[in-house]
Amino acid sequence: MSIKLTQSLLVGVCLVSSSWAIAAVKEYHLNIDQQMVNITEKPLKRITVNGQFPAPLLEFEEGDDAVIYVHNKLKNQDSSIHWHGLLLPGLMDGVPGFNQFKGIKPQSDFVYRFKVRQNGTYWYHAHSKGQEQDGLYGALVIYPKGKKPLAAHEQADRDYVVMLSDFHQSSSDQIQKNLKKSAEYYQNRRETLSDVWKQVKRDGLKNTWQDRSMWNQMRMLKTDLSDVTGYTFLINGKTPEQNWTGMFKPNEKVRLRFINASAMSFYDVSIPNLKMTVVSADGQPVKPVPVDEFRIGTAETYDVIAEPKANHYQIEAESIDRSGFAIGSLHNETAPVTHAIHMPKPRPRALLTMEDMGHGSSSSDHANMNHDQMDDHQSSKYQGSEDNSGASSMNHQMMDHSSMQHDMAGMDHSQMNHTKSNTNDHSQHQAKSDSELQQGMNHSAHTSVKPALNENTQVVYGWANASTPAGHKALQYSDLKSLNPQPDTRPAERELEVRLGGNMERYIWTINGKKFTEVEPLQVKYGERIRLKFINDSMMAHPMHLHGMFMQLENGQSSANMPNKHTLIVPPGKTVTALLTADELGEWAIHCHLLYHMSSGMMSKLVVANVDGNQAPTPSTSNSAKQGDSHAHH
Amino acid sequence: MRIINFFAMSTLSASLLLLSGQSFAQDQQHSMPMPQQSEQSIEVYDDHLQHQTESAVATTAVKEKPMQPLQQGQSSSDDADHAAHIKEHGGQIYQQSTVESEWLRNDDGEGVLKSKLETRIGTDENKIFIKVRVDDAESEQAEYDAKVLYSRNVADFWDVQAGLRYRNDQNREVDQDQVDAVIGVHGLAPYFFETNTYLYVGQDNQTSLSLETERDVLLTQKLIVKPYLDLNVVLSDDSNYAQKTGLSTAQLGLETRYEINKKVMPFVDVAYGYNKGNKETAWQQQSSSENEWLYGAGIRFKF
Repeated sequence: MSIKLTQSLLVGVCLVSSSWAIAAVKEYHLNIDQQMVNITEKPLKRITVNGQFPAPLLEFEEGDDAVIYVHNKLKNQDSSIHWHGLLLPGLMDGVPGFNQFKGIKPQSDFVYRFKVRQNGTYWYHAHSKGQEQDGLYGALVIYPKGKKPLAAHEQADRDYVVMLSDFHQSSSDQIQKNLKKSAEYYQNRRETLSDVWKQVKRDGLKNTWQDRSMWNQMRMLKTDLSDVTGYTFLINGKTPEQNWTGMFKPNEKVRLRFINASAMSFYDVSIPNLKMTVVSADGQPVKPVPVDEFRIGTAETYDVIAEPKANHYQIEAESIDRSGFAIGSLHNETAPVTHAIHMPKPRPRALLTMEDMGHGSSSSDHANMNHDQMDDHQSSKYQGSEDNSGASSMNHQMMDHSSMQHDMAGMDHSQMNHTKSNTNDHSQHQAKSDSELQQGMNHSAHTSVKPALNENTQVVYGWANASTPAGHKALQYSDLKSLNPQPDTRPAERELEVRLGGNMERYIWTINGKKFTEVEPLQVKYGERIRLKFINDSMMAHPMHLHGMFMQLENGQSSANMPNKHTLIVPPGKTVTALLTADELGEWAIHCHLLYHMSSGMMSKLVVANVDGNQAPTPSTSNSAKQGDSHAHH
Repeated sequence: MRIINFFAMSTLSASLLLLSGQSFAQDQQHSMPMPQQSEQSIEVYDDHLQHQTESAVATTAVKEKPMQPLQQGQSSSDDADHAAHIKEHGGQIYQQSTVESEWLRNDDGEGVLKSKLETRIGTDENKIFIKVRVDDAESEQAEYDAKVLYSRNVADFWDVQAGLRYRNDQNREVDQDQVDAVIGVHGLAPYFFETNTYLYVGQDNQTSLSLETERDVLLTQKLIVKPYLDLNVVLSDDSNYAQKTGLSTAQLGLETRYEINKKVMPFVDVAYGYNKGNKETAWQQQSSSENEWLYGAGIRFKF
């Protein structure tokens, strides 16, 4: 008896300890508080976490049990933390009002507990009011089990987080109020009378009138690339002058984990004279893509591997409204520190076009009108060679497409089930741009002189035109291929339309025409495979973020190769689609990650729920609720 | 008369002060601008308890894999929480106020100090507009009116408004104060024309239409020219101080402002004005139409 007892005790102890060994518990304590911080030589009251601004880096290994004690020490504000990009139970997702999470009241605590089921670069931030802008954001990195690299090309000697953010003198609350007083409150680079005059001289009165009348009727500004200006852009909480520096030794490989933790800003990121290889997007591994630069939307992340050879490099992330740079350095630690940063010359800011308003294809008149215009530009103004390509480069190119898009629209109607108008568009653009690239190369010899000459006078058109230098490769969504084949390659059973709209004048932003206050949740059955179709009817780009699950971006790759994304940039006037396997039960926020768009209403709820057999509308869909079963039937 | 005047003026100025005070206060205490927040903070203790239990539940949930945490109807407390939360995403109350003062002179050197206050408070859909206008001519007593309007958003760029207008003119011997009903439209017309148009109906068969429209033209980011047009059409008027029917007044002007910042903006103003004149009544003589150039300078505050 006693032997049996001790045996069983032993077995018990072994079992318990083995489970300890397998699932390490990783604990963090985060104290949210308000303190004076001094970023821009003026002390300002901001939110700190454990006394730090921005919040500290959290590190996990895949398989860990994360236990995070969050203490809200704010005096009179609820708070919350959302783990951006993480797969976890709904309650732990940290969005007040979702999954019975009620936020964290002042002077109280919440314990987040979840199993870490993935690896990669993520981040965390508040989901209460504007606290994210005020400092409640930080990086969250999950290493693969045992910190083993996922693939040979991911092997790196150094591993740095490069977190981009935008810091403002005004509090988030004040910014939101100002935007509501006047949506143009922060628009300090609007077009003036002289811009109109220049356009008249360049394009003639008639074209100018036609172009402008459209914008005027829509009551929109061509210059609205970002709603808020006056930001100081930071890397890991440091200003360009403070110059965050990552050290390396000669011949080392460096992994840089770029996180765009900004409230409102997109960036074009480059490290002049250093090629980067993108190995991960939104924390999910992708097949390596060598690039010179990439555009990172708010809340996206990209991991790149670089092999610095020189002693010093400057990391430059320029906001797409060209109002400033976030700057940091990579430096050879064996070389003496000599370099102060040098402020790069801003690239020309792009003006929005009809295409960005989604009018390129909807009305042939306007398309034609613009087409003419664009042709003019092509000969006189364009740098001729931007292999940056596709969507972006060359609006005249897109105008050429407009007629084709028309035809396609017709075709699409006939084959409703296969509608992938977007992907098709994409691939077309790609194809086009490839040929463009060759042209570009041919031209590059003589165009390389031009940009320097008319850099400031030159007008750049189209949201996606990053003014990538000739011969440089900018990352496109279509370049992204999942490193590992997607487990679920089923076609979508149905399509959910997510229309993005806005009224700049009143600063109201909507999903499917509704603010979050009036929204009806999007209902999805557990296990269902759906297509999310983001249609941008507004003239701003929206980084659309889905909580709790990864979407497979339909970027022209085969379904096994589509990359996982938690945040998709939907450029102005464009449609972007993604597939989603609804394999996480709960209520998940789906929203624009521009902070003030979200707090003006651009948010919705996607509910993934079990539906019992009686309610299932069609037999085919009820089958598919359980993937395994349906396979068995086949 | 004097007493009434004094009373009216003091209430007006008091309300002005209150209004401005309110909005200043709102500006200062960023953290607690909205009333619904106080409700939340009362619930602190209850919720604390709830959290405790919740997190305990959560731990077990994690271990066993979440099967179906929620799909039944939500309890009323959840609804309340949800309601509190969704207000953070488009249900907020904002205010916007403008105060301006302008000294205007005509060709003959007669001056008038025109002051305006406009405050909007409310959500995107429902707002209250308060508009006060005071005209203080050099040789006369100040004449003023105040409008209180409920404003309902009906289309992307348009609100329908309805309310009351109170008018006071101490220069008159009778009918010194009157109340009119107002209905109108406020919004942004295509080509960025900020437009207000109202229909007024008052005693003695007074009905009139007003139209104000303006548009900004940027010379630079801060130096902004604003052409504007104000029209007043009298449809009928049998009052003691009746105006001629038809296009009663019109003012076409060009204001040039310099936005020192988005809160303070001085301006100069040149306008051409038309006035059709008054009808002959027991209290006034007929006056004929007149045109005049107006030159003005003023300052505007927005907060």
